[in-house]
Amino acid sequence: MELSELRKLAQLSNLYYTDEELKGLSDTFESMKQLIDLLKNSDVSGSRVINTIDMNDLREDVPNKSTDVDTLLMNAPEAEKGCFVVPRIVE
Amino acid sequence: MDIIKLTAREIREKIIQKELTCVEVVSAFLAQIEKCKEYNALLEVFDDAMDLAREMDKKVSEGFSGKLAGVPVVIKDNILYKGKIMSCASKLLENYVAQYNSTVVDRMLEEGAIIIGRANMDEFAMGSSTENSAFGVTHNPVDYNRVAGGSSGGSACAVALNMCPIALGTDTGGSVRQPASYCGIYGLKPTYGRISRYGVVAYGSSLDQVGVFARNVEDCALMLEVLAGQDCKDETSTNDLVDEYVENCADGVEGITVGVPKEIMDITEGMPSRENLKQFIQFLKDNGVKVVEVSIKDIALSFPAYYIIADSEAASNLARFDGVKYTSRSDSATNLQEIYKKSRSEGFGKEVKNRIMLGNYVLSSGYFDAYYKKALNFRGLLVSQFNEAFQHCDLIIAPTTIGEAYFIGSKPSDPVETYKEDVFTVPINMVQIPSLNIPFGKGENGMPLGMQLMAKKFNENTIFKMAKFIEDKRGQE
Amino acid sequence: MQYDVVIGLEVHAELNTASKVFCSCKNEYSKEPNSNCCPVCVGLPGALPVLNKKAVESTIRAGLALGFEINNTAIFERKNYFYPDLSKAYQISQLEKPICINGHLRVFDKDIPINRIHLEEDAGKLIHEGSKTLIDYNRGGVPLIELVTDALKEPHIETADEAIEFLTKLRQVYIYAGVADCEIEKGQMRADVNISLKPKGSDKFGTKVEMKNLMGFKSIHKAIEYEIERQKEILDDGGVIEQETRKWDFEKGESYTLRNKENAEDYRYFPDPDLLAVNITEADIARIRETLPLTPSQIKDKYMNEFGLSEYDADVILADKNVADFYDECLDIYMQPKSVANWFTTEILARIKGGSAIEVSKENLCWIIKAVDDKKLQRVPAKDLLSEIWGTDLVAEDLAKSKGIMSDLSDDFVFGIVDKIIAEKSDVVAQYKDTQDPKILNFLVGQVMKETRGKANAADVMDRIKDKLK
Repeated sequence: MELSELRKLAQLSNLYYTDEELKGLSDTFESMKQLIDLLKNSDVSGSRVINTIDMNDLREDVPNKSTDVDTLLMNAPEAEKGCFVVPRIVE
Repeated sequence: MDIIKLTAREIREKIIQKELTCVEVVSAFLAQIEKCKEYNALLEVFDDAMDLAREMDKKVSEGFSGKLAGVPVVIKDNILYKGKIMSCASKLLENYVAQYNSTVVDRMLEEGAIIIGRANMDEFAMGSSTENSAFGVTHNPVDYNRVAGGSSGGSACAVALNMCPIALGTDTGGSVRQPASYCGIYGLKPTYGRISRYGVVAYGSSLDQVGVFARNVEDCALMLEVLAGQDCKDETSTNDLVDEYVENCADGVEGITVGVPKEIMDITEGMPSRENLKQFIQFLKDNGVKVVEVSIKDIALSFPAYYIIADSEAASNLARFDGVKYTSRSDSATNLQEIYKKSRSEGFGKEVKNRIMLGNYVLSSGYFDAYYKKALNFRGLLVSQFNEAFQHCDLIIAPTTIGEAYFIGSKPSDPVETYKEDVFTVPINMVQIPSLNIPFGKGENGMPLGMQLMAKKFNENTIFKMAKFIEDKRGQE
Repeated sequence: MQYDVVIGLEVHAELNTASKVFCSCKNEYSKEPNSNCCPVCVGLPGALPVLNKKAVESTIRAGLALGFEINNTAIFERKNYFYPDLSKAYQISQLEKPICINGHLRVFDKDIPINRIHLEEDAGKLIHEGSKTLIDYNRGGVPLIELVTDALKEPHIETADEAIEFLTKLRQVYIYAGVADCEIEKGQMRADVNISLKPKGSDKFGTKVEMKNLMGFKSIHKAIEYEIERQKEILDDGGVIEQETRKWDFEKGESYTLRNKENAEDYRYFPDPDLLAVNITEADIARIRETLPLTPSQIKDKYMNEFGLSEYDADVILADKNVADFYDECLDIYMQPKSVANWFTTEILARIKGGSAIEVSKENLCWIIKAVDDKKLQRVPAKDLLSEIWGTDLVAEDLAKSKGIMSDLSDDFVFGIVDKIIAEKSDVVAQYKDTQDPKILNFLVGQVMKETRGKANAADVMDRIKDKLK
């Protein structure tokens, strides 16, 4: 597994790895990849089971009470004016 | 009377009959918990347990007679109980306070249960030994130096050591059945959709199911009666009939045929559980149960397919833990990117990160078809093979584990070595059928072993009948 | 060099359901941040989505109004990416099996092919304040339908004017189908535009440039023209168009690169395991089709072919659904489509310019129109009368009479004759009072009509007699 590919995955996963850690991960990843390749390289075929619900059994469009803001924000690392807060985002 | 050894049903009965008070019951279990502290089964004993017991005594005196009236219960630490910390045994959620009740908690409370604590687990339910807990390993109740299993190891240990009569776990690939087996108790993973997942932290959403630990069959059945049934907050929960599971336990096993997949037999080659499986088959035959050979041709491939699906879903499910809304935020983060990366990197343990990475790998463009799509299609194939096997039998049996509980710290650093422990349990989650671990046999070191009884979807009843039959027969031995 | 321009549109419209798409929180604007939120909206651990039936129905309605095929199985997928307005770090959307496939919309003389309409959830809102960004999830989970034109099929949208006409028509269709309010300034309808240029006549498509999240038809028009010019200049200079996503700066009137091909997102779509695929049967579709009101183009046909309106009049009335609805209500009272349309396209529209409400009752308006048609009222005083009663609760007829602007027999004159006849025919009147025989009533009306030489309004006379003999 190329380190550059692992770096890309780390980016997708929003995880930070030092180069050292990444090298360590490389072996583990290789081993995990070997495991899942057992399926990839097998010649089984089937078709996906799709569990369905009838349209009429879906939830009716009736609004319900929402949760109060204080409860929603109670675990927030930073909150202000009823909002979750992060440092200003620059696009 | 040794309160802590009573079954849940006995406790409820004695409380209703005023032979015991909830206060007496809860104090007895709290004392036992205190005694067993070193096993690290529980991450927290809730400090309102005694208050709730007093309230329950009052309610009972006013005529309340819920199915769990006064019964102390422990929940796995990935199940939300409003106002209590729920950490998923992760540093990232160390101080997270549940903002609402899960449906399972609501249903237990309605029936009068007293939730006395939250149990240790592998972080985010990823693991099979609780060695991935951020808060230390849970020890095996039979041999302190061995693991209790996982991921619901804390719940299993608590029930086995009489810290509570019943406990909840969750089972994504064996996380209830395997620790039940290692600890020598019953562990039920119901049919997918049988119990609402609302308020239970998701790992692999198409595989997750809340499960039950108990020291006897009827308590498992009782808990399923309480927990099962459709929930309008979980679209995947179904409206299939909830049976009178407890009552039906005594129906006997006449007409029930047990199937042994020959591929399972093949897999056990060289494993400690092989001999136990053979003895179990013999035991069934000796007691007049019809046992036939069936085939689930590709069952061995469930194992890689399971990891593809579970990790994909996990990678997506765990993305919400980002340091913005409720998980702790890295102190050193100064911008959004750092909040995301540092909070997650510092908060998640190694195994969780491995699985997130693998999940994103198999979902990413260029790999999706070869891994994820193939796994989904394979899952369909496996379902049809199980269905075919169930044409010839009512129950399928398999060992729960490769062998007895291993020593703490004995697994190599390669996590795939540990994954192999799950070989007998993951296929069941893939096909979403129910499976119960029943304690059966002992390993070479005298540690408990277990067997799985599996049935068609929503046929928990058949499992309970057979399990009760076996329980009774073995009680007579 | 001459170029063919190919414009693709992705149009998002918020559905006007009562509750959100995956939870039961209210789908309505709220000033208080996070006040219409629950564990699902905020993506709390353990929260699960539950699909709103009405949102699916509305999507099907929108699709049927645009001639789409409806998939019998609709699947929801997760689109994974991190952004603070997305509480779960994935958006529930549809990829493989959207609810609607293959529709079209007539724009000027072209039938523009549309690839799909799918149902998804809106994201929350970010509020930038000083050194902080505040997150409000009220909008998170609002049902959104995304329509994607099929730029691979002919004919294409080729100009900014056509694009705007497409959006205008689409907005009308949604509003008439009753699925969305599409208030542009509230952000209820937004569009992404992608543009590519190719040498005239070439069948090989050029590189697409996408412009994200445009709001307001004027800015979309400007952004498209700007982008076409930008690409022309690059190509004329022998340059290469980069595949990228650009953002339109409304204030500066120019666009800038948001991200290029290298850092394009990998969304890792996969079926959402928390949601079941929806079975949509032919019976479901038929049931929805039955309740589908006429589309704007169907109404236009009716106006022109049945009512004999000019295309201009039809378009003008249809442009605002409130006007068209009011027009139809007036016809229920006074079925003279051309005459009523004439008043709408002049007097009514002049009075509601700039978004004012229609402040006259259909009864009053129709009375005036009819009075003019019956030559009881001259046109000029009739217009003044309309202005006078506009926004008041005055009754047109009463005011016209008290002002003495009626041009024919006065009521007083007619009523005088009524009184006279009642007095003369006291025996018949007594008989009527006993029997309530309608024949006698008709006889009395006939007498009055005779006396006025047929100039009185028979219906009015009958009312008056009934009133008198109560």
